[in-house]
Amino acid sequence: MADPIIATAGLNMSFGDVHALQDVDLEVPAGRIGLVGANGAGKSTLIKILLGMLNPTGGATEVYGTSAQRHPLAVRSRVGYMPEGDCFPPDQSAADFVSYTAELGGLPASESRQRASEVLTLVGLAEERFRDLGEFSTGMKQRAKLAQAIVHSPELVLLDEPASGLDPDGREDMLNLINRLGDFGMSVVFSSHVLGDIERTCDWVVMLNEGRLLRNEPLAAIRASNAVQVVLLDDPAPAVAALEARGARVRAADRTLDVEFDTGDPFVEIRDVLAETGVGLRSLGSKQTTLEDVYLAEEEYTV
Amino acid sequence: MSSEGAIFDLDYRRYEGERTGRAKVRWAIVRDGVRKVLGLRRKARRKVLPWGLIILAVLPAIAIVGFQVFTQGLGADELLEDLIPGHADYFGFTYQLTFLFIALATPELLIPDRVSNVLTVYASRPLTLLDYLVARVGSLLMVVLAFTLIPQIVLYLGGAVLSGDLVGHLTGNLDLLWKIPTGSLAVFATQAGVAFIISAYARRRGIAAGIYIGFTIISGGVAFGLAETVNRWFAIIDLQAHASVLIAEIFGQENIAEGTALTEQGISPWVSIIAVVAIAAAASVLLYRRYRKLM
Repeated sequence: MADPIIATAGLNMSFGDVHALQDVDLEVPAGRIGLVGANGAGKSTLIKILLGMLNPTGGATEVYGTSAQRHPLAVRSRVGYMPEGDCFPPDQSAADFVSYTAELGGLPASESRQRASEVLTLVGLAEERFRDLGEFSTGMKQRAKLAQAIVHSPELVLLDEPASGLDPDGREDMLNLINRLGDFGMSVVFSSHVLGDIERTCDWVVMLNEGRLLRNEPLAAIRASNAVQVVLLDDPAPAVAALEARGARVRAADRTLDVEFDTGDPFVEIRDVLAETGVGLRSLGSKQTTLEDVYLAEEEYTV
Repeated sequence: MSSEGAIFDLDYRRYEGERTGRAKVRWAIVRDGVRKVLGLRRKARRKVLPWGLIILAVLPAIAIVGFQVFTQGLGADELLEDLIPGHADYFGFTYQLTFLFIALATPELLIPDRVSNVLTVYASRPLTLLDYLVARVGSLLMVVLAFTLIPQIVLYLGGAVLSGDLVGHLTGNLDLLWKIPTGSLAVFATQAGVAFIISAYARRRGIAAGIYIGFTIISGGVAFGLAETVNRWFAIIDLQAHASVLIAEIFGQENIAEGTALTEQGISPWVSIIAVVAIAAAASVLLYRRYRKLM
């Protein structure tokens, strides 16, 4: 891996008896990174530690090679953050607030106003930028939150559940915007519990469950699978028994079988088994692994 | 005229210029605080109270200068000199308004940021908690100084113009150049600490202002009663009296502090100085501790 933008070693975070993160070792490259996990998995805690907003109870965190705990201001000057909840003064216009947050990010006042206008246009709020934020709908607020996160030209943006509370059209727009951020040369950490959103936008996946790291690898590697999916016309029991006798791992759901062999050509083995048992075949093909499959399998494994 | 057209896709433009330091970031927070307090770039109803108080503080000064212009040729200068309030007297008047101004301004500086979760945005930017708090206190200091200084400047310049000897008036009253800002600082130091602490905990601006006004008024009454009946040192819990005593000392006019629990009990002005410093220090520590849990 090229120089990782985020690295953690033995990261632990506890709130009293609750272990939000346990021994998380990470190395993440530049790009669009999906931070996946159920509610309470530790995603928001990890993001806040990366920003130096929380001090971990153990371990170390580096962002662009800088310790987030020892030099949080240096890290924050290169990072933008979109929190999950609201973060707006309701009686201020979007243009004023985003311009102000640009100044907080270290941009000169003269530049901030122009930047705010450009970024609000980029997120689709050009017409509404002089309206008070308190009058914004949920979708508009999400866009404005994204605008304040990127207005100061950060190298990395941490987005905490950016699509939550959005209707399907709003979600679509937000995912498109996140995709574009990568095109603008920004790395993105996109936290979500909606696995489909991560699959559509990210090229690297960090998967957490109950504070433990389940997976940390490219999405392509997660999707790659040796499994073959077989859909049968008849009772699958004889075929399952024959496949297992040949050393296959079989997961059956009704008449659909996911079959994996450690050695040999699975298609040849399956053809032979079907010929041997006389079970009718509807379809046969490589299995497309989704994040959901991986997440459920890992969760089952850890329980 | 060129026949060639060009289409520019502005898209996203990275900022490649210089970044400002923390001092500029703090200054941005100070300016934001001033705008909040004065209701600038906000709806008209947000401007009513602060600007109403500012007008109330400045109008009498303008009226006094106008009255002096009107009565200048009447030949009753000596008689009028006793009637027309001077700088110290005027301070005694604006001081009461400053108390109300601080009651309204301080919640505006702290409560919306906390209740609307804007603190999360501050916490994600390259600035410290101390930067934020110092800048917010700086915002209040700026507006309070302006609030107390503007009417004094009106009086000062009015007096200079009316005297017919501009330079003579200015050089003859040089002491006012330190007395007026020092008096303003004394008022700020006496009152802002408690106002900030109340605003650091209250969730509604109106409630914070009400608690502060109630606390200040009640503490005066309680101080008077307890100092008379239990122990004279209870007089020191009268916050407003400390400001009166300090202003009286700065301007050398004892009548400003007359009738307060502190003067009635014969407590030295030094006690007021120590009390004000102690209140400001305690308020700073409490404010920092409170916000350390939030940011």
